[in-house]
Amino acid sequence: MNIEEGIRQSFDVLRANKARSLLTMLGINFGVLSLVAISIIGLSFRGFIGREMAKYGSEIMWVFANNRAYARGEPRTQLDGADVDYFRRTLPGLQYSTTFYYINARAVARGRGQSVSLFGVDTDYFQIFAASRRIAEGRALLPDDDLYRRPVCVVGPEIAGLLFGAEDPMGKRVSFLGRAFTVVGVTAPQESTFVSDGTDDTTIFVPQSFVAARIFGGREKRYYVLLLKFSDLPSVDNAVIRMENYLEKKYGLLRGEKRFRVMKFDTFIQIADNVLNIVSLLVLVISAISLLVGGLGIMNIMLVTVTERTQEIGMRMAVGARRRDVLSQFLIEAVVLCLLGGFIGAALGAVIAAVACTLLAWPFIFSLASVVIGLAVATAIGILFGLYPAWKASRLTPIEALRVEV
Amino acid sequence: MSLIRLRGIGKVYELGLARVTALKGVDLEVGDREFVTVMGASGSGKSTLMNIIGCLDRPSSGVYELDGRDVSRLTDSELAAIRNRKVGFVFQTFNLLPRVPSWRNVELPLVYSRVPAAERRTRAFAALGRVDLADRALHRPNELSGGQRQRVAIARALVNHPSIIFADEPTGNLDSRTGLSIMALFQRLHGEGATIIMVTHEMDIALHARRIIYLKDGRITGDERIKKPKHADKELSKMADLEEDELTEAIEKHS
Ligand SMILES: Nc1ncnc2c1ncn2[C@@H]1O[C@H](COP(=O)(O)OP(=O)(O)OP(=O)(O)O)[C@@H](O)[C@H]1O
Ligand SMILES: [Mg+2]
Repeated sequence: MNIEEGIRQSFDVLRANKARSLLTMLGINFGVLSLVAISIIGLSFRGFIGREMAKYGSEIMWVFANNRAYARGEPRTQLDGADVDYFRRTLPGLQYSTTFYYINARAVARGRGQSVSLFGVDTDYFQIFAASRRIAEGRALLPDDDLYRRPVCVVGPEIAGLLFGAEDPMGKRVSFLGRAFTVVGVTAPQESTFVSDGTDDTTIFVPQSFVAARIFGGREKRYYVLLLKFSDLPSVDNAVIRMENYLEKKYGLLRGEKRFRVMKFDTFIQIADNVLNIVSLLVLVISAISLLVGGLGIMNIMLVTVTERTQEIGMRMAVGARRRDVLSQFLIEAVVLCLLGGFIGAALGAVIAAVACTLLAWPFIFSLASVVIGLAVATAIGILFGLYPAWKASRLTPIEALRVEV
Repeated sequence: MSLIRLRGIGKVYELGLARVTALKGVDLEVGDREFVTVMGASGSGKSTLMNIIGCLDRPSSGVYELDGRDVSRLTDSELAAIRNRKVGFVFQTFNLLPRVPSWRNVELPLVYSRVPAAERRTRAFAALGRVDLADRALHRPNELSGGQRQRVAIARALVNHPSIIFADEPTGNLDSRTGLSIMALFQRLHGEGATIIMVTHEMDIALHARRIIYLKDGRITGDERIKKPKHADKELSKMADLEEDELTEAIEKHS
């Protein structure tokens, strides 16, 4: 029997047993669906990460206390001014660097109080985050603001609304940390983002010394985190080694563990990628299991079909069907069932992935390969699990088949 | 030369320990363009014999030559090819695919001889024309009467121009009038040159053939030519006349 004829007959059978065929397909549906969905979501996630990386530049790294080394409540060793100066002076290829502090405070504007989060940023903050923390109005904070202790601030669009209502916040005054600050800039609303430095649309940025004075009083300043941006990736790798050596020599290990962690943006992304890989693997396992279950369902229904249609098999043999014609007919039926299930699954998977990408604001990247692989797997399942029932059908002799009473 | 030549054909069914001997040394010759009826009591081996002659089954012993060729030693697919091209089967229970239109039932033998789709369709419609069902080509079997279904099955048996048509109790599931119309069709096909071998229980039906073979306990015990076969068309027109008469007259005539 040629394939075209086999397919035509398969559709006759499908039409006659719509509900049963659909139910039988469910396992294949779900298997291919999860395969396609996770592939597209994975691709889109990576596309999204790529976009994020491009936004910040992947030449970013930061150093902070290695929390793993410390017991709960144990005081962390923090960088001091000398360390930060040393890194700024000596690391080759360094373009920008910033430290920052974060505190909650109570702000008063137009006679009304409001709790706000203050971000005490250092000189280069707005350079490094130029893409993700754009200035919509006015200006960013400048090195001079800190040097001359100017009481100015840059406000997020949301907190600006809370503090000043519909009025233009530019040039308005708001009081916190015991003095009045003038608003010199407003940031643009933030796009959805994967990496965050802790700021958002409710943040108020102020020159760092005001916040440091509140935290440390007269004591020596310490830095919880230092964020650096280099001109190129080799410089980042070089900096990692030099900083780790420097910090280990100066502060030593704590119970065999490093006191600081030097993290590249790359590594950070890598960790996210690893999480994605684990999730993908889990989904693939689920997909494989449902394909297997689906395949067994197909085998079961094909065995039922062969039994139900024994008379038909006998008639076909009586009019000239050879064993291999019967074999290929039932094999084609199983494959058509699986492929149809695969198509439905792939379509649903793509739709689910598209919805997920829209909700997460990720770029939707269609994966044709996953659809092709999904359909190939469905075909293979059809052949694998259809073979036994089809073989059973083909082993009948015409007389046996015709004599069977159904 | 005979179309069919059986020499000492035996058939034994093995059922575990029990053995059933269905045929015991059957010798038979059937020539081209014959119209033969096989009769005999239930269990006498009629179907077994038909299945062997029709290459649906193999004999346990003996030699069977079809068209001068020994078919008792052929492989499964060689037998399938013979069933496809040389033989046309008509079953008591029609054996049609219920969900596809008549013409697609009729084209099936052509599917297995790899005839291109367009030609299959033309030939299927032509075969339906020969059994006067051209106007039912697109109907599915469940939209047809029993007699019409059997005619679709006969068209299927005819479509690949076989040398012989086999019919195992073709009228067994039909009322006598419809049975007669099938006999009329067989007689017409026979007149057009077909070789027909048919099994039946009913003498009324058997007498439409030209030769009757009688089977008893797996042996041929009678083989006679029919000098004056019944003419199905005439019987049918008589029945039609009867229908046109008044019912009371008809009752009087028959009592
Ligand atoms: N597949 C089989 N297995 C075992 N015995 C069988 C088989 N087919 C037929 N027989 C036996 O062979 C004998 C002949 O059967 P067959 O079907 O040829 O009879 P028949 O003349 O066609 O009868 P009927 O008029 O009732 O159709 C019977 O005794 C039957 O029980
Ligand atoms: Mg019988």
